[in-house]
Amino acid sequence: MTRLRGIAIGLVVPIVFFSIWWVLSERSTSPYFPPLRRTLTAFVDIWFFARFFTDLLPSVGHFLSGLTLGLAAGVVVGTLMGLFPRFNRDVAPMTEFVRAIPTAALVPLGLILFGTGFVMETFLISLAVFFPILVSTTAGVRGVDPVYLEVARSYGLSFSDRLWRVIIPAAAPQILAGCRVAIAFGLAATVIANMVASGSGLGFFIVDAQTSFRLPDMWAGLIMIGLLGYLANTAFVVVEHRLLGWHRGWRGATRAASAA
Amino acid sequence: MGADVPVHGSAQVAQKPLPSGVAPRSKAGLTWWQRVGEPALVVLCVIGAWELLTRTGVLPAKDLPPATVIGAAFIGDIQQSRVWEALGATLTSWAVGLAGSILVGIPAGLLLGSSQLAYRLFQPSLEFVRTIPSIAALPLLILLLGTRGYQLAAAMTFLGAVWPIMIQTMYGVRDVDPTTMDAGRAYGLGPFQLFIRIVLPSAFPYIATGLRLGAVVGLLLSVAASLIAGGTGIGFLIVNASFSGVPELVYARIVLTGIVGLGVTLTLVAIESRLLFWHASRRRTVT
Repeated sequence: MTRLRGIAIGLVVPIVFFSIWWVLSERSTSPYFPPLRRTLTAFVDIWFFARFFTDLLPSVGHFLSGLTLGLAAGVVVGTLMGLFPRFNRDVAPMTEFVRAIPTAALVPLGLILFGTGFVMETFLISLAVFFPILVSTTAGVRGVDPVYLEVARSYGLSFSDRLWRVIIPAAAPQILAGCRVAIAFGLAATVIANMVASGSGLGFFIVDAQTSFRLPDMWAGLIMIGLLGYLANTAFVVVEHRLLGWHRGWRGATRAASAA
Repeated sequence: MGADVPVHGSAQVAQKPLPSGVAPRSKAGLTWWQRVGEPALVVLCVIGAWELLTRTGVLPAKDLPPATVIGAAFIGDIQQSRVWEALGATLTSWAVGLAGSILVGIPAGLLLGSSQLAYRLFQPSLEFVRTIPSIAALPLLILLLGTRGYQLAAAMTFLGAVWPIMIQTMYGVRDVDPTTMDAGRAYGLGPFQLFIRIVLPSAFPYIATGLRLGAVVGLLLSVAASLIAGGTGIGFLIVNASFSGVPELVYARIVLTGIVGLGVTLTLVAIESRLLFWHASRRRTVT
């Protein structure tokens, strides 16, 4: 009941916002701010029909493959860096440096190495995803309560059992916190890669709509990107909930957050 | 921790002894070789391997210039004023946009965090807005601001940085310990005093984290703006080198951008830890 009320209150601002947008833009003659009605018509035409396979699907596909790759690499390397302090110290200067390079600056590098297309975009997205995961996994694995490790050792657990049953689960909340950041970075990288270096995809679509002055289309693209970001985040919250439902600290934290 | 440090409710946490077995990881146990020598050697080995593999043709030298060639391009490049002007343009836009997002984000966050109603109304929408990649607004801003001046990159920086700053500030205000507030009231502090002495200091770690996140995202967007839209920034110079078919210059300028990015991050972390030394025990690091 209180949850429903919370959702209802949360919906007030978006509803008011879109109503005002609708009313103010209805008679808009500015080409930059077309009526919301026209934008929404364009939205349906574009994303449900014309551009679904040519622009929406490739972008989502690249995003998901880059996300998977960057996630896997980040968790593996991050676990190694967390487990072996010496390895951590030796590679940290390099990872810290590459991490500091803004993703956008790496687009020309991707172009030189892979040309345009799927491989280049996946490379760029996975790189953007890799570093937040790497950092949070390293921190998570290093921060595992030593008492857990002692107990696991005294029970004679093998290394792989300790890794899979103690270390990874204990680090999971941190790894997932990194995932949240990674999803945002990955989505931004998808759009940037599309904008600079491709003939299709969402980012390309909005730039193309802008340069050819199809402004309702550009707005429709903007709304689609926003919607994708929201969907990705919602999917993430669902997964996080399933994976971390058992975790006491996490449960307490979310309960405190929802009660507040 | 000095004796003159004001004791806040939270500062007490620092005095609490750590549970046995949780020895703080100090740098003290490491020798100079472990801390600096070996990592430096590893970096040198990687660079050496790069040089060797590209010189012998195992890696295609056309796309992957040898490290020494990149180094030479880097040194040649930084002697020209062009690259400094571009860096200056990117950083100026970044600083202007960041200043704007601080001026808007912190007051808005304080307001949203202080009022229960405002929080309930706006928090879900803010969480939604933060998931939208700001870069998507670039085409619209190109139309509104053009691509020539500093404005585009500054507006992009603002758009990227204002959300983390606002949201972190909001959560920081909400996380103020109610017991501390009660204690403050019991000591007869007025609303203004409560705000200055309790709310702001305890929200500060959150605000600092928001600033750091905002600054990094803002730099990314400032670079992205000039990379995609052209204009005066460093992003444009990287693309330019790429179009002129000089890969070593692309690498050199990416390295330069990385150095700037690293400098920004390190500076912010240093400021943060200097300002928050008294708060370190409660600091939450969000990466």
